[in-house]
Amino acid sequence: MTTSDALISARSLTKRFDPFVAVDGIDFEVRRGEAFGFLGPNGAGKTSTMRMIACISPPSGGELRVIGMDPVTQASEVKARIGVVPQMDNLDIELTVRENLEMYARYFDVPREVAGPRIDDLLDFVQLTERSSSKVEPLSGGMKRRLTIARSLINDPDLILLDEPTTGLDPQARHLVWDRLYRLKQRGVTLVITTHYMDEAEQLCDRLVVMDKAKIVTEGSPRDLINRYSTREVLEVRIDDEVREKLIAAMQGSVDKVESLPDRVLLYTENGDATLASIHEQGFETVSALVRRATLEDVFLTITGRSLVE
Amino acid sequence: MSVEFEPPPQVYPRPTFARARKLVERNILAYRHYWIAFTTGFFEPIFYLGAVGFGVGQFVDRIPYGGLELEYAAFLAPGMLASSSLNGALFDGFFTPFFKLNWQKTYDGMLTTPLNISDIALGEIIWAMIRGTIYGASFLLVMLGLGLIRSPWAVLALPAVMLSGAALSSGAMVLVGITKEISSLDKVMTLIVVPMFLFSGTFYPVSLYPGWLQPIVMATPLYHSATLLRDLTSGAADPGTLVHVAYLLAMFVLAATVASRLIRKRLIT
Repeated sequence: MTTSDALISARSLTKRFDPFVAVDGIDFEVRRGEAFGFLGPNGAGKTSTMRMIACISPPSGGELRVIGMDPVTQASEVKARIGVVPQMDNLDIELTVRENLEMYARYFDVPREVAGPRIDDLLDFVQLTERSSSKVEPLSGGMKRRLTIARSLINDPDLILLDEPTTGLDPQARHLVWDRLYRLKQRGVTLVITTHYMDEAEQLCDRLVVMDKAKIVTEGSPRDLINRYSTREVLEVRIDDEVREKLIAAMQGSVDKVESLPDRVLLYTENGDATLASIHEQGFETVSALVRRATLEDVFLTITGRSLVE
Repeated sequence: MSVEFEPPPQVYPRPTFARARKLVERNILAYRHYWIAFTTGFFEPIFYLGAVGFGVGQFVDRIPYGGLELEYAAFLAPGMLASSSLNGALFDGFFTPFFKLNWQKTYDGMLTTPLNISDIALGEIIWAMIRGTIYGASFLLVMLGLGLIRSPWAVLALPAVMLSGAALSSGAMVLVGITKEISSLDKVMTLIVVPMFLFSGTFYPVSLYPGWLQPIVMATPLYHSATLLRDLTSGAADPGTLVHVAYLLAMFVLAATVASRLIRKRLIT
């Protein structure tokens, strides 16, 4: 990759809140037009990285270029070309839905004759046209998120930063947000997304990095990572406790990996149905069994472990 | 990897008027929804002028001031004029920015646009100054109607109200930078605003205080604001009046800079 393709490039990027290190010397590049994900548990350093890219947090060390510029010394110029959807909504609650977009158009110096039609389009895009003269407070969480997304598009940005865009939304609202983000991606807008939802990363990201404890632990497309860190399928078996250990011992050699959880046993295998058949042939009786495709969640838990890190 | 990096130099982008102006536009838009709240700051000094100036004033002899003899209402009115700029500073230099910073997170959103902290701080100061100036201008009209303006110097009272508003609003924004808790609002009112309003030569001459106390009172911005305005509306202006102008100008520049840095520390982490 040549650097000119890179919309964001980071070398040994570090963020320190003494004595704590939030981001510990990470390297990554985001290419124009791709959807790039930062995946990781809470506290892994995703938001700190996003804030540095968004010019609202100066790096403590390393190099960071955003759209070819320095986010510290050229903050206004960089910010003019990016859109930000923060983790917490910070809409202007003293203004109406439409006024929120009008004011942000002013902050970005979008000419009035461009702003008017663009606001109409954006309200339509996020399905808020009917609420355009409503105050922000009575909107549902999903509507606020959609308005925030519309707001992030007001300057027709080259790059959109989305920090946990669907955290706290109900399933319908999440799917609507995903659908809108997917359409943006199809239009060629570069998206950078942080999330700890694997399905979100799998649906939206072309490429992602997994962060854990302030570092990048792996990088690739969702498919790559699943191939690299998991098997094609996972068989989830519930079985009586008395035979549980026997099953694990019996299957240990014939599948890639066996993982014993409190309520079930996970068998990582290329062919789940065949594995299940062989379990039954060996005389084990399962309470229930489920064959599913391996997901990013399997990758994620393999890499970052199952114990709760706070 | 434990490579140690040189911390990058601190950069404070300078505010531009073109960007700061957007805050004023935003506040005008917002106050279209809250215009009744906007009118409150106008009435307060009028009420004081009525109750204290014309009520208590009946029992007060003329007050010697800068070689003149002023009846009490003419002495008090410029003090209330100064406090009308204090109202603008208090409402939109302190209360609303306090909530925008700590609760509404309005500034976090604005910071993702080309606006920087210094633009936001300057914009809010300019707006609070405008609000105080609107109150001051209306109050000046009231003074004119009541015959409390005694000198052509009073044409400079409006720019002086603006200067006073800029200085007091910048001071208020410094308080925004150092307060986080809702209880801070009470502390600011009880320990700073109310004593300054009552004791800074607004209601009676500072010469009544014992010698050791006078310099303390004379260090407050409202003292300089009230005295400057009194010099202008009464006609007692002399070269010494410029000291008040210098104080207020210096306070504006200094406090606006300090406020930007303090708020920056809160938002840019």
